[in-house]
Amino acid sequence: MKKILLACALLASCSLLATSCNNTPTVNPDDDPSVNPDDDDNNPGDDDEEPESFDTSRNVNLYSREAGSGTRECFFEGIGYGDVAKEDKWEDGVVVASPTSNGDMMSQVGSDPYGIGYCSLDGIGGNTSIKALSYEGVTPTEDTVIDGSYALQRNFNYVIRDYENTTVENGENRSAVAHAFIEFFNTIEGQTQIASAGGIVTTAATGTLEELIEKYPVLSSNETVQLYTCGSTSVEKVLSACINYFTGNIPNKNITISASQTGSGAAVTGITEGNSGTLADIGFLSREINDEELAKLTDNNIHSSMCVDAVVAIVNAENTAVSDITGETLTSIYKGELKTWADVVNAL
Amino acid sequence: MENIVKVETKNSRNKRKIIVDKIIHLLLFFLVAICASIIIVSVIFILIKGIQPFVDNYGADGEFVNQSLSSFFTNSTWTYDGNGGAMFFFFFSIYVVALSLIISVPTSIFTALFIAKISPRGIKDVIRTAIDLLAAIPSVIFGLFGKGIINPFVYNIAETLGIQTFAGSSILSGALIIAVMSIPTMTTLSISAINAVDQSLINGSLALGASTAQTNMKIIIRSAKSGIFAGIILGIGRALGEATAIQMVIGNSANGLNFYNIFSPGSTIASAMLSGINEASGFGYDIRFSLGILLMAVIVVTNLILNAIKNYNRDKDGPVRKIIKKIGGLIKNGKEKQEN
Repeated sequence: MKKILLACALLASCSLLATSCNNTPTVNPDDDPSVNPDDDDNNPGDDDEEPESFDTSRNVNLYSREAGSGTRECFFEGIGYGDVAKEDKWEDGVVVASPTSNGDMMSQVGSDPYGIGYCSLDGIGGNTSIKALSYEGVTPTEDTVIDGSYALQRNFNYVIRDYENTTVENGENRSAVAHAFIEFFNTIEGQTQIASAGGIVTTAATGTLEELIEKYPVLSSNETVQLYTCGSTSVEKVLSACINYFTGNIPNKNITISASQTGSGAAVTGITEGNSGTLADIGFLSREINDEELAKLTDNNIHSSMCVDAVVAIVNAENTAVSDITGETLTSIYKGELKTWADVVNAL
Repeated sequence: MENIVKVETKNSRNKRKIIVDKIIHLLLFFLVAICASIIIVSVIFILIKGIQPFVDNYGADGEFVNQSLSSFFTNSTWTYDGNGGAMFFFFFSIYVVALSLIISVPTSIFTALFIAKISPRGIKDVIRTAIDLLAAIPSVIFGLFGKGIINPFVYNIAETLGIQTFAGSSILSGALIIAVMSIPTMTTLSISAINAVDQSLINGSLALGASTAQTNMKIIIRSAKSGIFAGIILGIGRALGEATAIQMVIGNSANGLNFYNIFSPGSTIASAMLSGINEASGFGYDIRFSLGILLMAVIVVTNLILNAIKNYNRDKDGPVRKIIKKIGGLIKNGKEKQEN
């Protein structure tokens, strides 16, 4: 009897907790004034206390990825606030929350009506809780990125291991497969895979997978070859699409490529120093290779770009104050000069 | 003849036993040595890696860049250019743990009292199991719980108060998560401490006419003080070192130190080490080991201080007493001098 009573009490407290948390700040598209204009009877510019409307007198909540992130570097170099691109040199007193990944950024800005952040273009498709901002009047789409009018873009780069100057088991075959795989990015099939996974291809395709199989006999042999990749997490989607197609469509079924992506910082260290002595074969970066890293590379470390991605400034879907933003305004926002959303609207 | 043979076999049997014993002793000693050396090796490794940023050159193009020792301990802004300081993380670690103690200490003491002395048998087992299960939940699960429940909860509180938060990612959320996580440790140890209280003390109190409530508060908790304190020390240890769950709810800001707004985002030493380590390379990676040294130092010093406080009443000539006496004497002297 007492146990039953206790169970009831526990249930009651659980339901109490659940109801108290029910009105979460996540945006329901039905309640969202920007999506459903029929329900929108209050002027978004007003300072009324209705929780559904966007209150421009509130402060701007800043979100930024941590130093070392390729997305962060691209964003801040792009908007012209280079001081914080690589280091955490914020102005005094500016409070910035740091989500730990692209997805975390979207979920945090998506649950904070007054937040502003940035993320990779290919990730935001279908996410209704955030709103992508146009940059300098240009809407971020694949077309505007390809024709170069959308400025906040970056290359996904790769760099391969120096097979001649490092000791490696089965080196000849591994080298051949690694070279074939990076050449695959530029084939017709490779570019289709990259595009289908959200990457944006800017150069014309050269050759087909057929030609690659002829060029590298190991692809049609029976040799067992295992490759490892490392580096940026942003390339993960594009990379896994390429790996699946490549390993699935070559005659040699004993070739496997396993991706363990941790961050752009691990790309060059992964192929030169490795993880406890085991060197990876191909490293990926969602930013340009910096001078410190270039110094570690030799001529045999072939590096080039794989495809292009755009970085997009995002706000919460409830935010009706802005839809277009400039680099100058973004810089002032992240410098802490524009404190409230009203300031931002006035500055635009 | 037969007798001698028997004695000899007995001796050889004994010898064999002795040898087996010795082998087992060696084996056990070997295992102990492995355990102990893991601690020593990891501490030495972190020390060496953590001192590197202060000594090595991280600058490109011939510039000499390394972490300045003085700004590491004085600056409260975290940067990766060598002039950053860890004081932001240091203060927030202590602050978040202190906030969490306000919640967790009373909760766990009274829970323990309820389980050990007040609750009926059937309920006792259920609650006990629930608390033990709470201790077994991994910190990532607590982190998800915090993201899904505590953050919106804090966000709602702040909105009702008219304070703006980063969608609930705040010091308060971190403190709440840490409190939830340290409650099982504190409660379990408090229960054993309360159970160990001498029954004759309780009987004496009741016989003198004190009510059960008075006995519970004034006799039982007071006598179990040292055991409860041991639980609190362990709980603080867990709270200070917690990274995963905290990192998911606290917002990871590394700028703008303030203590008055518990709804603003922050960062503890442990969460700063964890967040962004996958993206870090070079200096940004190595400096995390320096934070590791700081974290170890903070934990050791906190434990020493807490143990000293715990033993304060027991040994009359303990070091803390001596220091306090000395300070008291100095103040007295100063006052006398002023009066003169």
